[in-house]
Amino acid sequence: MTSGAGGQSARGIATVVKVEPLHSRNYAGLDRHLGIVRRHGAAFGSIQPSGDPRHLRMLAAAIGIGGKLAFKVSGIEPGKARRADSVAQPIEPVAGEAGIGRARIGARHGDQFATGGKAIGRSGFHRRAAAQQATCHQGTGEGSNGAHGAITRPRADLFRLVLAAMLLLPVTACQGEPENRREMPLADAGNGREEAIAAGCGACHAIPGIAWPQGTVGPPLDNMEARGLIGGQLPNRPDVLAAYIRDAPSLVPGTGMPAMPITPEQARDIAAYLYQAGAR
Amino acid sequence: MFEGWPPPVFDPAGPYAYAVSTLGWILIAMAVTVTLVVVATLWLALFGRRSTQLKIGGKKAIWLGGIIFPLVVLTALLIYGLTLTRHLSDPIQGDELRVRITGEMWWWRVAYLDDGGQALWHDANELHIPVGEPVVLELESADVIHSFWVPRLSGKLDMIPGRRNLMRIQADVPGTYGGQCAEYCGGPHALMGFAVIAHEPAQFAALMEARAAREVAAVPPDESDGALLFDVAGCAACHRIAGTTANGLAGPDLTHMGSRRTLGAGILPNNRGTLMGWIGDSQALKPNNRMPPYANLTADQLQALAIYLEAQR
Repeated sequence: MTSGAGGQSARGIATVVKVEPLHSRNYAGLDRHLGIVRRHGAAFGSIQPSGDPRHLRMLAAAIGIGGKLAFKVSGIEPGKARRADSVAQPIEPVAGEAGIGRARIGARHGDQFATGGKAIGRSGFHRRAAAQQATCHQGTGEGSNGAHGAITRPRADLFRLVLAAMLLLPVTACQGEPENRREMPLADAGNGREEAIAAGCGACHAIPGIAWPQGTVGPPLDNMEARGLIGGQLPNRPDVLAAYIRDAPSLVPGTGMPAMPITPEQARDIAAYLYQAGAR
Repeated sequence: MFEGWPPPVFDPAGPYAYAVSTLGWILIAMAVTVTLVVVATLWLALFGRRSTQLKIGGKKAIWLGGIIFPLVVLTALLIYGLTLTRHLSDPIQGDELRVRITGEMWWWRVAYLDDGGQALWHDANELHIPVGEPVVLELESADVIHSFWVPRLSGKLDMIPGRRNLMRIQADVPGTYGGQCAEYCGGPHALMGFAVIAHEPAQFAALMEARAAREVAAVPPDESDGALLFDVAGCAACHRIAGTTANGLAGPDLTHMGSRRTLGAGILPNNRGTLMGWIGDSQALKPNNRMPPYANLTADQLQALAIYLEAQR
């Protein structure tokens, strides 16, 4: 139990700072699990949307932590509640096996955040969480209670670890929903369908859920959720898809798909619709 | 699709449509009343008192309810209806704006006429009118019977081969009004839409002037890929662009394609993407329409053609 990732001793500590809606400008009202991970003296921030169990998603934007920290991280005082500092500068997701196994803070920002800037593996958490499956029935409610009070006593490494595992369990092991790495919480897939019709996407593409038109000049857009590449070149990620829908030639020069007269918000909605409508 | 589509049927936006809409509501009210009376009578005939049943089955009831009532009511309705809508087909007085609209399989040929009935400029699938002014449409057909219907602006009138039917339309507020072919005309009849754009009078006058001038203007030679492809790929055999060598008359006039609201006769938004999708394979979008698919064109060529058409304003 006390051994951390990679069979290390209890120095590998995970402390969940907060499990409640994160109040920040960009991600207002979203239920996200914020975590600070400390390992061998290095600390990293991570953010994990609920229902997103397979990896700690790194946001490509500054985030604010509004909770009590158990220790000092990059200028945030321990024990200070509801402090909204930008602790994580843009963090680059790094693809490992299957694209989601590992994540690390970009070296450029590592020292801003903590001392090390070394990669942390998601797998340690995962193993611990798996070992804690027996606590599943305790559910989210208990975990949330524990999260409100930050852990300030450094002696309680074991306690922290168990707590962390409990808190993470609801999203890792107990949540019955299938993993959805195409989640676009800010987009409206319902609007997306109307916008796709209004923009005339169907003139070139057969789109699930849109009976007419079903053009043949472009590829059919079914099963986009599972598609590997966009435009034959780009990784299939929500942000990339939304950008490609709006202005394909700037991302894939020479593509047959022209820039479309839609706003970024409309493109985002359409992307959300494609992920949702085409899922098999 | 575009603003004003699908067109609401009971939302008149001009005097002619008001008349049609009023008549529609009166018909509905009468139909409901008659239905209620018939159902009530039927109920009485089945379950009423014996004396009532005898009355309903008597000769007097049949004369009154079966002959006199319909004769009076329907005659009155006919006279009222014809009076109400008599201005819809008023003959040409001489100074109205005249537009000839020809139904084709499955699109609309549009020509704006001068007082002598000569075409000032050509367009397709879209009609521009000034607000607050009656416009006389000369409705014709090139092949089968079509029916011109813009519900918010006027009634519905058939386009019959060999005939010229007049119908007036008027819009009281600026905007875009959807229309639709209302008589089955074969294959993609359902995909034969139309857009009417009502402009403020000053704006409309400027548009008319600019387009009439464009009709006769000398167009400098265009060396762009799109212009060359338009000739080489065969587009020009069926489509016309005023002032160029493209003078085909089988398909819609494309002189003002870039400024049109819709593509494919009121069915698709008009942008570069839909243009490419249409040129590449319009058969997938509007099955059996008379434009062949151009599957031999590359992405670059499709794009060049779309850019060229976008520039035709």
